[in-house]
Order: sequence, then C-alpha cells, then structure tokens
Amino acid sequence: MKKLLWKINDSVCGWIFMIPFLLLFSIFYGYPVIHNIWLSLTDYSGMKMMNYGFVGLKNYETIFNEGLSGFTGMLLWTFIYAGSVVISSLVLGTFIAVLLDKAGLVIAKIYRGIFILPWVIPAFITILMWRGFLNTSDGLINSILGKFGIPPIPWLTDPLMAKVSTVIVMTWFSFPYFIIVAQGILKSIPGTLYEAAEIDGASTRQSFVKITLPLVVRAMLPTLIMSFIMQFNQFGIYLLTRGEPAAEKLGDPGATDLLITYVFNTAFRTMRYDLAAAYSVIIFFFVGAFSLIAMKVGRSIGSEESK
Amino acid sequence: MITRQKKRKQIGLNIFLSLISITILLPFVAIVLISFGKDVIVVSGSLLPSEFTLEHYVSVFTEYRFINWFWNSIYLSLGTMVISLLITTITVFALSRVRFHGRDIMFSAILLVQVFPLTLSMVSIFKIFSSFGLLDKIEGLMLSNAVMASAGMVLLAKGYFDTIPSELDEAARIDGAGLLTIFVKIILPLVKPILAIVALQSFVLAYNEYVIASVVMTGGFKSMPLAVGLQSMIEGQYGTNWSRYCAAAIMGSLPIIVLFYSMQRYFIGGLSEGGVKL
Repeated sequence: MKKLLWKINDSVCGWIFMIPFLLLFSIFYGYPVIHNIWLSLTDYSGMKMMNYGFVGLKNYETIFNEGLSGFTGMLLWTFIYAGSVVISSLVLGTFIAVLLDKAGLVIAKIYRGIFILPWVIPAFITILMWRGFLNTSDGLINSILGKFGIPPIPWLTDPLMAKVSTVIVMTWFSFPYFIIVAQGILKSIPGTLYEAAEIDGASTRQSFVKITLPLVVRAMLPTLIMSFIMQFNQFGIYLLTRGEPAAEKLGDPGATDLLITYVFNTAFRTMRYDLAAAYSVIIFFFVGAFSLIAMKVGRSIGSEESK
Repeated sequence: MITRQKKRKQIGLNIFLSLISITILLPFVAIVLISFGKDVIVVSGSLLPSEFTLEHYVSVFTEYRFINWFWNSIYLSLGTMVISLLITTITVFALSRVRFHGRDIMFSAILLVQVFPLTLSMVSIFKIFSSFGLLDKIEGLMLSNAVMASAGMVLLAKGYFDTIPSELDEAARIDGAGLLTIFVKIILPLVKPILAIVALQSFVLAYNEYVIASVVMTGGFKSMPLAVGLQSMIEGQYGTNWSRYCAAAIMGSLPIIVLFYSMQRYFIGGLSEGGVKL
C-alpha cells in the first residue's frame, strides 16, 4: 500500500519538479523549432511582413535548385571547417597534455594556467581582437612581418587564406579545452602500457601515435562529436569575418560563411526570413543526427565500461 | 649517464613549452601594450610604445557607456546564475531520483533538442521576446540564458547526481521522509561540487552571450551588455580606435579572469568530468 502511494506520489511530484524547466524550455527551444518549421513553409520576408502565407515546399526547392552551387560548397566547407578545428585541437591538446604530464607537477600547473588563457578570456573579446590583428593593411601581424620586409599577407581578404585563418584562430580558441580533457584521460591510462612499449623498443613518438592518441580518442569520442557540433554551429566566425570575403552574387554565401552565419545573414541582411527558416530546418536535421550518434556512442562506451 | 640524459630531456621539454607559452601570451601582451601606448603600433611601427598613458582607459569611461555595459553584464550574469541554478537542481533531481512516467523519453528529448542553436531562429526568438514584453529587458535575457545553460548542463549534472547511492533516499523513505525532505536534506548537501560548476558555467555563459543580446536589446547603447557594447566600439560609425577597444577589453575580461583563476578547481573539474563521463 505504501509502495503504491509512493509510485503515484513520484509520478505527480516528478512532473511538478519539471514544470519550471519545461516551461522555459518549450518557450525558448520548443517554440522556435516549431515556428521555424512553419516559417520555412511560408513566404515571410522583409517585403512581406504582414500578408505572408503558406507556400508549401517552395523555399526548399529554391535552396536545392537555384542556390545549389553556393549551398553545396558552403555545406562542404562547414564540414571541413568543423572537422579540421576539432582534429587539430585534439592533436595539439593531447600532445601538450602529454608534455605537461612529463614536466614537474608545479611547473605543469603554471604552464596550464597560461595555455588555458584563450579559453578563459571571453571569446567575444578575443575574436574581435584577432580580427584587428589579422587586418591586411594595418593589423598587428602584418605590421610585425613588415619589419622583416615581408609583404602584407591578405589573412582575411583572400578567400582561401581567410578559410585557413579561421581554422587557425578557432583552433587557438578550442585547444585548451582539449588539454584539460586529455589530462583527465591520461591519468587513467596505466603506466605499464608505456613501459611494455618501451621494452618492445617503441620510440616516444610511436607510443604517442600508437597508444596515447587512440586511447584518448576512444575515451573522448562523445566529447569529440559534441565539439564537432559546436564548431558546426560556430557563430564566432560572424565576429571574425562576417562570412567574408563576400561572393560575387549578392545573397550567396561568402568564403568563410558556415551554415549558421549564412542563415543569420540571410535573415538579417537580405531579410529573407522564409529562406533562413528553411535553412535552419536543414541544419536542425544535421545537428540532430550528430547528437543522436553522440548519445549512442556515449551509451555504448558507458555500457562497455560498466561490464 | 641516464640522469644526465633525463636532465637534457627536461630542459628541451621546458624550452618547448615556454615557446608555446610565448606564442599564446603574445597576443595578450600586445593588447596590454596597445591599451597603454600613446602611439599605437601602426603609427610608430614598433611593438613597444614610446610613451605610456592612461588616456585610453579614461576615454572608455567618458566617451562610451562602459559603466552601463559592465553593470548590465554583471546583473545579467548573476541573475542567469541564480535562475539556472534553481531550475537545474530541481530538474536534475527529478530526472535522477524520482521515478515518474515518461522520464527517460523526456531526458532524451531534452538532450536532442538542446543542441539546436538558438542563433538559427532569431526571428522566432525576437517574436517571443516581443510578445512577452521582454524586449530591451535584461530579465528576459536572464531567462533565455538560464534555460540555455541548464539545458546544456543537465547531462553533466545528472551524471553527478546518479553517483549518489539510491540506498540513501530509500532508507529515508522508509523513515517516512517525503521527496522534498530527501531533496533538501540528503541530496542537496551531497551535490554541492556540481552545483558550483553549474553556477560558474551559467555565469560565464551569460557574460559571453552576444547573439541574442544583440538582437533583443533594442534600447541603444545604454541597455547593452558588455558583449554587445564592445562590438559596437568596433563597428561604430567613427572607425575603430583599437587602443580604446583594448582598454575596454582588458577591463571587461577582468571579472571572468578573476573568477576563473580563483575557482579553477571547479571549472577544470567540470570539464574533465564532462569529457570522461558524458
């Protein structure tokens, strides 16, 4: 009898406890997701603020037909960008974590305090700073290079160079995170593994590539996928380059535009709210798929560990 | 022989780590120099300014709304922290300790939906803010930031709550304790470390958020939080004054730097835990 009462009590109380969160969550997440799906089926834009209406899948047709050239390129770039940032931060972060492991305990703490700076200082401040540093005509980096007689490099103004610059700058932001996560994982790798490798004649580099990296990657897999999602949706690019250098045709994605910055520009510069909504529905599918994978991977690793 | 080799290795290691430290520190040193320098690098062509001055720091206060921005951000971040802490704690308590219908499905749904970046639906967000009368109100931003923070922290926090053995609450139940008593008397004292992480992360998230803030804070310079205000210094109509920007940037990042280095244990604990457990 008492047990049954608990059960009923739990079900009611559980939901009561969830109310505040669910309320806010459905307002700020649920509604936008549904409202976006609706908007993507209308012709709502800066030109048609009031008398907009249902147009079916027309926006999706526009994206996949007319905009296809720009769209596929941008989608591809979003994947390449997110992949490169995650992989280079992972390698750099793990590498530094290994080095810190070998340095003395106190020294390692001091170094980590420094390495972590890019992650600590608010990103909106440092991204804008990088934008100034990388300016072609009067940026800090070109000014210093100029002292050595090197001609100005178009860091953010040449399409290809701008792509490389965004990857470098964003890696600078995200590798400290990987140092810390990798340090946690390194502590759990038994030292006997390395000793055995050393006896077998493995060099330091070999044991880094063959032992450390694979183990860290495995333990970090869910984190890696989540970081990929974060970079996939990296809005910081907007502050760094605004998606520029711009494309020749107005309204096409710029060289460093990611899906997310392009959607923002489509909505707030060209006022095509309908197209922007259709794009964000597409992004939602991508991101949803990634996070499903992350959850699956996380669960399978978790169940393996508990075995 | 071996010790000497080891020593040499240690020295090499330290040189390498110092080199990386320098490359990381260089941009920050540059910011400090630019903010204090009388003639900016571009003019003098040298990294070291010929004369030091505080004029840029003064002009940040006299010519921009820096004080307003600063207090807006502090108020916003503190408010976000409190709201997020409250809702995250009771939500995660329910998800972790209370067996109710639809719990697991809801947990998965939250995880799935929370990856959706709100930036993508700024049109909808703007509509929500305007229909609730929250436009240009910092309190509105507190709510949106708090739900963002707590949706993002649910997974981590639940992982921590789950490590508390369920025998504890079962024993309390047999003694006749209600859910609320269990929550306040048993669980809360045990989860303090994770609550500290939730609080800090929420504060930082609110301090750093600029996309939603730039769209819904429509009241001009006075109502901007720092993130939006600093942006306006760069995109202003009079061109960018980097010395002033750097001065404002340094003062603007101080709260976060102080917070981080004094609470490093919690930030790093939260990170490595999230990485391994997720």
